[in-house]
Amino acid sequence: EKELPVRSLRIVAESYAIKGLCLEQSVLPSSTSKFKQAEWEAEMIRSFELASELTLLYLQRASAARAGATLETALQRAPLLHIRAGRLTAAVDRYREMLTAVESVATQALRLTLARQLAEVLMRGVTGQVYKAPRGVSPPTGGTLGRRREEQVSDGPWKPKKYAAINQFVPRNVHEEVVLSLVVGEAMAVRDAVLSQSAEFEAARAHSLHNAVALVDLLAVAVTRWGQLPLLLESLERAMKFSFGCGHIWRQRALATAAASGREPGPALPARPPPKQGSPSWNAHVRAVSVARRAAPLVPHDAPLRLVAAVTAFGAGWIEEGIELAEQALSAARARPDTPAPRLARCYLHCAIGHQMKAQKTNSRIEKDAENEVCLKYLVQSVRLDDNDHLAFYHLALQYVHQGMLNEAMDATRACLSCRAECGGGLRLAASLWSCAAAGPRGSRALHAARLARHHYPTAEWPLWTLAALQLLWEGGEAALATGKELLRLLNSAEEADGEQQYAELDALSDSIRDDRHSVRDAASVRAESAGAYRVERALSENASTLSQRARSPLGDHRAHAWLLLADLCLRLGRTSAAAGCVSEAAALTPFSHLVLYTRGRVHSACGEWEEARQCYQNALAIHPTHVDTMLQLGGAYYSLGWLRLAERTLREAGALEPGRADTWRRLALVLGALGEPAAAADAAAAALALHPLTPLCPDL
Amino acid sequence: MADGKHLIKEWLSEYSSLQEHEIKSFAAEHEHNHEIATAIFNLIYNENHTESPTLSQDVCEEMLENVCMQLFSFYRSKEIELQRFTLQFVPIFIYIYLSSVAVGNTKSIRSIETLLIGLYNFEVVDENGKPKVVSFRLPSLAQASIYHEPLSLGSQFLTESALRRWEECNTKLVSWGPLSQVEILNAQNRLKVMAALLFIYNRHLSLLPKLALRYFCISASRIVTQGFNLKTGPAKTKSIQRIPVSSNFLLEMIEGAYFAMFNEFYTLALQAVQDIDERAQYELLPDVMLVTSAVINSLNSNPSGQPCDG
Repeated sequence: EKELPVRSLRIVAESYAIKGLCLEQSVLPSSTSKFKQAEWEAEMIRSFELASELTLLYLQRASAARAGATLETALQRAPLLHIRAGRLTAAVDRYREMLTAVESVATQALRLTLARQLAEVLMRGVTGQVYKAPRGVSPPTGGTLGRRREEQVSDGPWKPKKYAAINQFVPRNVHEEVVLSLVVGEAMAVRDAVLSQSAEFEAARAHSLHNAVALVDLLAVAVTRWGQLPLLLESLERAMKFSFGCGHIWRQRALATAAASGREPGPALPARPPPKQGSPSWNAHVRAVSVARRAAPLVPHDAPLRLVAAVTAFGAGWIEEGIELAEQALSAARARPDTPAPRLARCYLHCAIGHQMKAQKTNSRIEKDAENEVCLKYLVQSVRLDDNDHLAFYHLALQYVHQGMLNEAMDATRACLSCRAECGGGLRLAASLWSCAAAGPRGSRALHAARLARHHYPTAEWPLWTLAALQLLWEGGEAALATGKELLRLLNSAEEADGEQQYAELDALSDSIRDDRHSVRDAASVRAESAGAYRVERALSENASTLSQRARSPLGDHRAHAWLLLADLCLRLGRTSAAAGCVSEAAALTPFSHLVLYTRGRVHSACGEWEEARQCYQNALAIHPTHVDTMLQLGGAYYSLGWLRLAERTLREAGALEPGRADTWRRLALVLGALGEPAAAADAAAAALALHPLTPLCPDL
Repeated sequence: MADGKHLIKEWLSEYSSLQEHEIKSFAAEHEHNHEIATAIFNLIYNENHTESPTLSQDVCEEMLENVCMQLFSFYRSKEIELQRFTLQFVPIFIYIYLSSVAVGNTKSIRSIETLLIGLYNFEVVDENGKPKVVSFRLPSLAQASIYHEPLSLGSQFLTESALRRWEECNTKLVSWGPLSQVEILNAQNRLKVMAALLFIYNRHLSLLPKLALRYFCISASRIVTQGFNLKTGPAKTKSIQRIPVSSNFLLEMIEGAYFAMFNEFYTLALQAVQDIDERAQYELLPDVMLVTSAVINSLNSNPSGQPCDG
């Protein structure tokens, strides 16, 4: 072998290619032995291999030349023959040989195909053990420093030049090689993309788009499993340049942004506050929703995409926008008669969830009633369509609880648990419903539900909350305190063991995770929860978004919660000094939380220090003006201080905010009685009596 | 069926009578023993059952327990062939297990549960008892590789993030694990464990017997569709409970189905991917939807990879 002039290179290459093609075409006489047949095949493949190497070399040397049909066929033939014969390793080697050859103008399109094919072969045929890593080409040593052309080396006069560089990336395992070839291929596809929209380039544009989409799809399959959404998003964004009006790419991008917004690091539990404005997670939500809005018109019948966007919007706290998207989804799903019933039911469900959140958020009576009504209508429809969806039943139960219809709520909870026995939200509702006064003395059932929840979710905190609160009622303070300590221990251990990671996993409730996060957050606002412990969560999260730019330890909120729960328990056991200690622990973690102030106020109340208590409550209300618990306590403090009119006003405000609470009316009755208005007092007392059975055995002061 | 049982009984007694030094040769010939594999598949999975838990009705629990024990001791035997033999049953065991848990029937599957926990705990640590990590570097276009040089691909790809990836390339790996061992399965960790088991299964895909892929696809379809066939007509019985899923679990399933699609089981695997897609759209898991629609779209537009059946 010696160096050939450019022209002869082409001639030799073509002759080998033709020889290979001829061998492939020629029919083998059937009499030949196996050995002969193998020899013949080897000859054919060798011809193609030689032809392809020479072609690459030729194209590298003669930069303006084009390959022509014969040579191009020869280039692609050899690996395909290997694949057909089942020799994947050999095929992979061929692809590598050709891809490591330095690119020239005429091979650009070809390399794009090769990169894709290499990735395909690796992904579809080679996993784990059978993979052998390629070897890098070591750059030539000595005397060539600083000359750029030396970054390409060649094995011999008949071999094409290969990429070689110091510190070159050489794949060590199959994942690296798949991603590398896809990334390189994708970059080439984007580079070759045809941007012109004019009709004469239509075919070329369609072709280049097709190539790019194929690569992006493969990339999605390869990297999503590893959580590498940023990489995928980048390439989808590059694809935006030329995929005007391409529904698939836009939909993929919308999905990828939605997935990226859902996967933010950090504790996600259970009260997930809406992301702070301007934070990375908030940006991700904004992006996800706006991309989805753009993508939606391109895929007019795609209800799930709109629902994904709606869920993202709910997650960011944009309830109205979420409802709008969910209702779009609903009409899209209803427009198509072939929508499966379960999916249609989910459309109704997500609309309902939006209205439920809105009803919880608003403080206006009329609006609240209207939202409740819409929500209930949607939920009933959802359950009617699909009687096997635990989530719909859960939200239905929740809605009934909000509206004080406890028997219906119980039925729905039962239905929920029979669809999924381990549903966290369902268990929690069951515990709180059994603890309602209307249920009679059913403490053991409530405790059982709480224990069951704890069994299913041993590292989640809410079962412990519930259990502690219930134990206080039925099993005595010591047991409750022990549970409270366990909770604190749980949180501390989670923080030690690499806080964020471990803890973020806690919300992996068995249900579909996203929905459950949803349900847990909503559950946090259930009025009928035991012992008021959950109200804490929602309030804290609202608070966190308005206040405190300070950096906190990731679990600060949760641990503060735990301390406050302990304080609560101590108060009920009459250990005021211990309670004061717990409150100051919590205050060290979240000094601005209204809950800390509220609990501190209660400690003062318990000691009979009404003036200090009043100040604490007023501070708490300054942070969170509609915190009904604080308003109640403030009313109580005014009453004890003898400021009866102020007490009446405060309690009436609380009653206007949440008319369904018995203890508001009970206190109001006391105040009115002291004011000398027996008729009004009797009315209030009657309201309290009527509401009482609906209230969980929520101890008060 | 009776035939299969007989075969399994022989198989059980043969292994238990083996001497230490005979294991190697036993392992070597065992890998391709399709008869026994088929018999075991038939034992644990009855195709005629369409809904409801699928343990064959007449399966004696004792035999199942013995099979599970033997499969686990295969796994611990350090013979790669025997490990692979056990591994091929993992997806179907996962299906049976999850399905039974969903309907609240945990008694009959104790032995399967034990086997799955055992496999998981065995696989998440290496020989020295340290948590195992599978990781790789994320290539960046900014760094020259054996397939390209940065300059020729134009500066538009040298973005900030590409450069950052280059910097982090050798320090910040993409990884799976470390996972901690578990003692019991509960609602909280169950799907994580199952996803990890499928991940392990997927690492061996190309060496598993083809028959296993068939059962893999069937299991995947069953897991995601259980409880979704709404009853129409007058018989208003309560549908069977659905199996909870998580996105990681589904993503691992797609990985396996994608492989099966190009290795003789196109129809079944495509069906599995479509079922997963339907479920993901129902649960609104964007990352799973992303991958399923990528797979389906790439099949529609680009049939170059020769997907085929049989």
